[in-house]
Amino acid sequence: MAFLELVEVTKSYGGKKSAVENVNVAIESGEFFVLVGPSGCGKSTILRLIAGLEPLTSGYVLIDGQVANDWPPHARRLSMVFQNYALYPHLTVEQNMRIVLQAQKVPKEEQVKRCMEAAELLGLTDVLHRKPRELSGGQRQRVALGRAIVAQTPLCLMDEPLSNLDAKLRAKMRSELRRLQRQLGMTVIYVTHDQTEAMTMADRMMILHDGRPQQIGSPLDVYNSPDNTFVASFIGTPPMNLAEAHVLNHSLLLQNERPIRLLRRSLPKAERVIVGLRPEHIEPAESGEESMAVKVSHVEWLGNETLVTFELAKNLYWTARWNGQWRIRLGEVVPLTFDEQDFLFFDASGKRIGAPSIKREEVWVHQ
Amino acid sequence: MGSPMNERVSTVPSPAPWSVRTKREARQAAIKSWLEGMVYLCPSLLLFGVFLFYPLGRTMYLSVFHTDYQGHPTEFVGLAHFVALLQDASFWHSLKATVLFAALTVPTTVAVSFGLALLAHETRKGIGIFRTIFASTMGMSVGVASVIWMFMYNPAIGIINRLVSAIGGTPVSWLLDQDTALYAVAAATIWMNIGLTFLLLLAGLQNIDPSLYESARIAGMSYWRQLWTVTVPLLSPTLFFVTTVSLIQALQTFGQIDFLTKGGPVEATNVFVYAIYREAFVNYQFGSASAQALVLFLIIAIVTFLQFRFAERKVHYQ
Repeated sequence: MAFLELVEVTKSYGGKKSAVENVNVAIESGEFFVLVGPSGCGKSTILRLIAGLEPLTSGYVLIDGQVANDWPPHARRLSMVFQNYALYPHLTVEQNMRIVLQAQKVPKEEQVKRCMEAAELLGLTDVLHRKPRELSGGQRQRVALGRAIVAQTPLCLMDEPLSNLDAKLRAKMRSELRRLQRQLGMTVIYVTHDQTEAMTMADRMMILHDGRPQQIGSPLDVYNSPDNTFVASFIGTPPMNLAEAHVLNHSLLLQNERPIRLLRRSLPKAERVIVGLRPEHIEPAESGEESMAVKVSHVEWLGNETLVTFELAKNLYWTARWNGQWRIRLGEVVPLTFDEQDFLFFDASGKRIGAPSIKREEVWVHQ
Repeated sequence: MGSPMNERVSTVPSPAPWSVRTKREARQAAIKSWLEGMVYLCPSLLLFGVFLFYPLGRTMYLSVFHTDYQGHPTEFVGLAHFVALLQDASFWHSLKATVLFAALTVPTTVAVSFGLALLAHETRKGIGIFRTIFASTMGMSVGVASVIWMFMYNPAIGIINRLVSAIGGTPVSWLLDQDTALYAVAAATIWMNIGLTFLLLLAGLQNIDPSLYESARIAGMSYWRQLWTVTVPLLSPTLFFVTTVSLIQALQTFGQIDFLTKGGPVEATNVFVYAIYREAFVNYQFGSASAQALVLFLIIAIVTFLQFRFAERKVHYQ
């Protein structure tokens, strides 16, 4: 039995389109589950529906197998970390953490004990008697976490908890949060718009677009075999290269202009498809290899790798990601090659066609 | 709560050695900057001067003189007006009436407005109508409001006495009975002041981050607990402001007294400002009125100072 289950969950605010529609997911105990999608995709709404801060329009929220639709927030035994931390400005760090326990009538010694433990864990011992405004952004964020930890609820909801931190601290907190979650055995449902956060932190994730779930799976599964073009372009930086193509005998005609020969790959039956290829799957061709000549329009050197953008057909720009530092001039014509097996095919509506083309063995070997 | 600011590296270059100024040049620059500042302050200083500082100085001046009917000083009397005032039973009576009036109006106004603001802050269908109704007395002048209440208090045709009769009570001459007059005026005043106080408190409530309440709900705090641990502390700057302003207003009440009771019956509603007005413009005792005005000024200054000194400690500015 799953720890938390959403069944056909729908929320609408009276407008034509519902904010969240037909969400089905079962979250296991101890899982770090990420809801990811662009702004306004309904991910925060789902979190608020789970928390009981807003009523569902239809569907069920099941906690430990029981329908919890009408349970008030505190009966759901969960804690929540808000994007703006929701700390009480007039209370000290200690009071901010203990206020949760006071409301639940936890004995005083127990309150102090849990508070000290959480402060120890988060490195807040020295600032326990300070007010939130006297803390740095990172410390405030930790207090918000501390409040979730002292509550010792089995489920913790986090609504973009790292988005107010600067980039460096955010990267550090990603791994720290994950470590804490494992150590305490918490089940976490984590909302973010940042696909890097989702990729690096999630056990499993759900990608959302316009209130509709697009795909659920582990980060690598989602990366390697996206169910549709939205997921393909949302997950991964730089995003997957996509192009419309005509299917011919043993070749594709990209944007009516650029033919690509695919000899060892069975092509989909459809006449028109969308093809996708990850930037890291486009490689510089060595001499003698079958290659495709393209004109480079933009180059980004990141130090350890080089992003090469080129015009594949008129107004169709693709990006390749190569390891190392490549000295390439703009306008230079370079030969490229790729493995036919790396191509993904989507139908005209963006849905994935055909069997997964990932080389699973390769993926697992690295783990 | 602001987002964390990154440290900024100062880009101001350190002064080059040849730009060191002599003392005289530095003083000239200081004078120039002072003059520049004064130019910007000029309009405010002018307005304050004409409408505040000059009248205050003039009042101080008049308070140590006897005056003629036109308010011209005739004879220097020193502190005689003040001494006479302190020995005057009617002065003490007026002081007592003012304190009672403030005690009746200020806490009630703040409490009722706070309650209404809490109600109007809830998200319910049609709440906007109630917000408008609750705030509407703000747009009413003291004169209009007083006339409305005068009709309501009318012993023969007023709605209040009709209600009293309807439930079997004896009609009361609200504004003509010296036991009820001050309470009647206080009730009217509370009604008049609720509009603005309500609006300020509602604005304060709407400034409180809703996620604080959501967090409280998840923690399982009851409504009343949320009220005490979240709403009241976070609203305390507004509550403090509203209380201070209401208190000053109560001590300066004039309009509704003039309309409703003219200080009567038997001086029951002869509050401070009304007493000053009568002394100056009915009895033509400008010297004595000025002395009384100064005493009021002093009382308000002390009360406000005490409020800031003691009550503000319980205020949490965000």
